[in-house]
Amino acid sequence: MKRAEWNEGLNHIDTDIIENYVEQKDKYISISKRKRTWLKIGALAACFCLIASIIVIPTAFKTEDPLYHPFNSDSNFILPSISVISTGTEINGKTHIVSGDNDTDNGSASKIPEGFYVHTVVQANVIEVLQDLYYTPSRGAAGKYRIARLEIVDPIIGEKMPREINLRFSGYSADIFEKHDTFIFSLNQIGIENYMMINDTKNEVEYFPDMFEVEIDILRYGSVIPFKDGKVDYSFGGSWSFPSNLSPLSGEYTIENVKKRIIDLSQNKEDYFVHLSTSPDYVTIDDVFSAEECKQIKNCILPTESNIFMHNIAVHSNRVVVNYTRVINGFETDEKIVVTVYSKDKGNVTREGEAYTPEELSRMPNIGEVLENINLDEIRSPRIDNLDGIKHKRVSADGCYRKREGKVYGIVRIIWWCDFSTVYSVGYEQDARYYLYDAEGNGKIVKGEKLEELFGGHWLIP
Amino acid sequence: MKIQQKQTLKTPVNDEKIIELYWLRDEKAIEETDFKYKNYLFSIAYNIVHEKSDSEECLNDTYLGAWNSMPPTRPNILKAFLTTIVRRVSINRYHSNSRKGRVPSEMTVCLSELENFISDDNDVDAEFDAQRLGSIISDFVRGLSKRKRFIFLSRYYVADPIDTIAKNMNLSRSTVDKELAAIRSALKEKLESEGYYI
Repeated sequence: MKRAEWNEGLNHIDTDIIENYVEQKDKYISISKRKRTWLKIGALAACFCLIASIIVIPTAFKTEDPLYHPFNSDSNFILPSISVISTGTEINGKTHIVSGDNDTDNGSASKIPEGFYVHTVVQANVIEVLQDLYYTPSRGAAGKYRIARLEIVDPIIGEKMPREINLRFSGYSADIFEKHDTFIFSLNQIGIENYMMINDTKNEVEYFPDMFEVEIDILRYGSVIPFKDGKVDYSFGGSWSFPSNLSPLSGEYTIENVKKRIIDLSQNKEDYFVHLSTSPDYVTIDDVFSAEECKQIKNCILPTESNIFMHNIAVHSNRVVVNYTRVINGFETDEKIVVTVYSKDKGNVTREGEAYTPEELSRMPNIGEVLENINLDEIRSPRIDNLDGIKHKRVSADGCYRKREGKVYGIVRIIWWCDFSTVYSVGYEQDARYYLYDAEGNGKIVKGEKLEELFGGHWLIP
Repeated sequence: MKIQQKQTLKTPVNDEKIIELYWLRDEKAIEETDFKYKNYLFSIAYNIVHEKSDSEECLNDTYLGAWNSMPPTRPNILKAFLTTIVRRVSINRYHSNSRKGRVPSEMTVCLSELENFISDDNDVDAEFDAQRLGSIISDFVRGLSKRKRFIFLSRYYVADPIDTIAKNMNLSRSTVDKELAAIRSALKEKLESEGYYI
């Protein structure tokens, strides 16, 4: 029997079996939560002391190969704590608020009901691909990017676009931009005019105005369409495939036919899964803080020495919504400020999560220091001896802050990465080890489920 | 795997109301489904395809599948209904990705456990009768004890990692391993008796 046949057979088992299974699973999970026990604090405190006393082994970075990604190597790595810029930046007479990463994940970053982000579809040529690797201040090595400068040839869907923009991209090799004449991109605007990134090789902060990102979920199966000699070039690499919903109704896959199809689809409101906004505009900082209620909070989200507010934006037909998430010393918190702007005169501000007070900000558990002092080589993966064929490759550590019921916590996560027989690595979230720190810096090892109890929901570090 | 669910004051709507929204062709049905079941469905998709973007596409396809099925379907248990859809959609994506040679997922691991009677080939024979095999597997599952049934479905239907199964059932990993070994042995016998060989 073949694998596909086996799976197809499983797809046809009786419905009542699955129904019973689902009910049984809910019961098991609910019973299992009640039976969990804690590790003794004394033993955990001993583990913490051991870890805190170990000297860090720094990761070596190769710099001669611009495409080399140091976190794909066999070495262990620690996602760094990044210090932030303490002042805003004056550019062209406008004040720009320094920001870190924009989380473009619709599902987790915000509670925008329709799940839309501003998206602009343009035909663009690549002017230049910068050779350096960049990463975002708030996410550290988790967000490694290349930057390409684009010239907008035709704003297919979108208004008020600048003539030149910066494109942040990952997962593509730079040479794809050299092989094609022109592209259609579906772009997600990020960083409202004030996006800053850290140059991996120089460790300097650089400012990139008009930053966009290629949005995978738009246009289905990819948001980049390359053209060569006026037609779609199917030799585009990797797992890319031409978005099936853009197939011209007749004729060849020329630039003009594809553009026409995109415009037709944008006017088709019946198709739930074609997220093409009807009024995508390029949003500026002045647009966001135009209403009185929104102006008042502008100073609240200015950066300080230890924290910034990273933000993402969504443009709807009747409003702009910006989510600001507090990031302390490079680690995300769960405090969000949501600014909604309906017009120049009307807007509102809401908060999600508990606010961090100035006193708390001056007294945070220093999880950056914990990360610096962890010797990841000394910590064994629970899977090494247990599962044939799974080879422990490396281990990583990262962290975040959370606040519940007036108490601030720092959380560090250790996660192991294993290899299958192919070249791919898997991070076993289920085996992740968590350390929970209070404001005084006392830490203990906890299970993921305890974090779920404390902080609600199915909780994982982003 | 990075999933984050933020705190919210919204409470989930009950399943009957959600099904009713589908029947009324109210798009809030999808919104409510997503709010209530997103993490659960995502975890199944991720067990199988092990890529966030693929998993999110599977989620979208699942909602589309649910939207297209209701009406005329009115499932008894919405969660189970969605489970079957997400599994089907994710398995299709899994096999498509396997042909390109890249799926380091829990599904790959659990299929390799069945190598005694399941071959590597991902293509389906034109004459293959999925309904019949489904029936045989259903018979087999009904013959298992409640505990073994749960373990079998957790491992081979939704591709839960063994540690997760052990945790859910408050068993040790080695106990689950042993149960799975016994299940596989019985399954092999059953399939061979029905004429299915590697």
